[in-house]
Amino acid sequence: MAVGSRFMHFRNERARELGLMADLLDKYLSGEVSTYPIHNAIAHLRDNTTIPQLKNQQANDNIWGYDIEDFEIPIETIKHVKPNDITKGSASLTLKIRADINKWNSFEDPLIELGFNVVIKGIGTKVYHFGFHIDKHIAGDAAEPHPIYHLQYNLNPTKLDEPDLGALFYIDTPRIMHKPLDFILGITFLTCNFYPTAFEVLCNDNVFNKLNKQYQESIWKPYFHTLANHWKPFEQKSIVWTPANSICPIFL
Amino acid sequence: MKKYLYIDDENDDSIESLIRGFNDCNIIKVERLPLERGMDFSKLKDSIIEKINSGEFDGLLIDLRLDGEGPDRLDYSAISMTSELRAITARGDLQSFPIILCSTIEKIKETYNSDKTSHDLFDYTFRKSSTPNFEKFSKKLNSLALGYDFLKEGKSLEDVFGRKDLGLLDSRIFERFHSQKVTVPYDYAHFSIKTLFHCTNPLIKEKVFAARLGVDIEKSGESWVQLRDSLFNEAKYTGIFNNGWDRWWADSVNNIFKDLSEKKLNFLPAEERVDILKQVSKIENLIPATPIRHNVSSEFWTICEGHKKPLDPLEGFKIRTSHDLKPWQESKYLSLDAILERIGIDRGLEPHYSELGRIEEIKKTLK
Repeated sequence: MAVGSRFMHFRNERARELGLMADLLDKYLSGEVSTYPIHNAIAHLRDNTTIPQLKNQQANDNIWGYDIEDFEIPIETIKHVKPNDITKGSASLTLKIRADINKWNSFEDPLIELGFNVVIKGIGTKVYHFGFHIDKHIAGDAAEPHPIYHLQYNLNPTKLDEPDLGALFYIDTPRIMHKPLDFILGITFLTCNFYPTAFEVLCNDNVFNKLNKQYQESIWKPYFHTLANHWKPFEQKSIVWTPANSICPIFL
Repeated sequence: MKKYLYIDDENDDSIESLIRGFNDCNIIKVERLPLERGMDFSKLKDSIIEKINSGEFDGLLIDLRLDGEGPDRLDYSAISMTSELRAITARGDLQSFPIILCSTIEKIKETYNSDKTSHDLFDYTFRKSSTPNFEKFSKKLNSLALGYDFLKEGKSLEDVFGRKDLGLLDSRIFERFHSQKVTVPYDYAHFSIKTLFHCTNPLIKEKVFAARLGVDIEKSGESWVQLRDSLFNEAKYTGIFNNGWDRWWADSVNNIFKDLSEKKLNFLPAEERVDILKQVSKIENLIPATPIRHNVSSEFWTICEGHKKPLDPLEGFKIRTSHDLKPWQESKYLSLDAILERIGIDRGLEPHYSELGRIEEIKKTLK
């Protein structure tokens, strides 16, 4: 059954924005990154017979989302890494996002499910891996209480049956409170951390800035307003610690 | 049996043996069109048109330098004749048919490489050599003729490329077929061979496919064939010209492995990929591939085009190409060993200029 036109209009808009981001990556980082995984996600968003499924198999017209498999960026900050035999590295993002169209641009949590998985790989005299994810916690996923959106380091990101752990104490690392990231905000996060020259180039582009502002509004605003609301009354005139990017550079 | 008309200004024993080479394979039939020295352009053109229109021939095999040194030499080359024939078919005055360029590698380098626009005229290039693999080329020429037949009647893109969910792939790949009003069979042929078959992604060739599964093709022998044709049969490209070019859909290969193992292929070492495959397929004699000399990673995703062996792209060096890659296509690579040993240089395989600095740096560490 085809998705209704109101919902398809919404999905086509999100597809267009992903396309704009892909164009920026093609324009500034051509030959360094492949936008193929982004365009596959765009094709799914635009296809009115595809309804993304939730983990519980539920699929409704109002649910939108996309999967991006193995979007890779080179790691530029290789000179400061250890072990120092590593000569080349890459970061690979696999992203799954599911959201409710009716909750977009509201003060509700816009996302239903989020899996933002990054595997970092380096090659020297052997192959090294590291990883982290930024997830939305689904009730019942783990025994430990933790923030709904969290960043957690993954010490065996490739899920090897017998990983080489050296002297590492393999334990669930803390789930650190972190703002949710979709692909657009995620590219800003990844380039800022691993590919700073690309981040600098992208930040000088108007379209990149506009896209970031728009997605901050849709995804971060309800998150941070809810947190700020913990200390009532909230008085705008008393805020002197500005701008926000003096706290974190990706608040463009 | 599909029949090709062969045009060459030479008429010596080498031409006879070339024709015999094709005909002895019993896959296609090749027949020479007798030429007269200095034969008028229009006369030859009309003669080809008549042969094709009569239904007696399904395709054309044409020597590049008709204006060469042969006893039947003409005043024009295959490029001008093919250009004219393509224009006539585009107007719809002649049915579309495959045109295959035929020449020695030296002559191709001499003329064809400096004139890149003429690359687009031919469906395929048959390189004359002392020992051509006639069976392989016959299969390709047969496949081209069958494909052109299939395309005579209007077909959906899904039918042409043998995949129902084509619309869920990167739309840039097939967008040309949506944006142009009229599509002639040659458009499909040109796109399939040059953009799909000769490049990596969304289709992959067998050696890349095996590399992604971590399997050493040679050492695994029949076990590889079993694995390829059983668990991964669904990933096989079944679209147009599939009987001439064996290819697999890269995304389907990944998905099949993920469904079988709940693991992603790309970050597993070859040994673990093969362990999983052995476990689920019960095929015992699969042998994992090992890294090429100077390499350490067995997280293979591509091959070294020099050695034709599995390679992790992170350890590879991008190859210089004569054409720009499309944004959805993956680079081809050379391993450090192939560069140091100059393997593949005779096939024109050289590292991309952007890699030269890195190669020099690595060379210093090896001294």
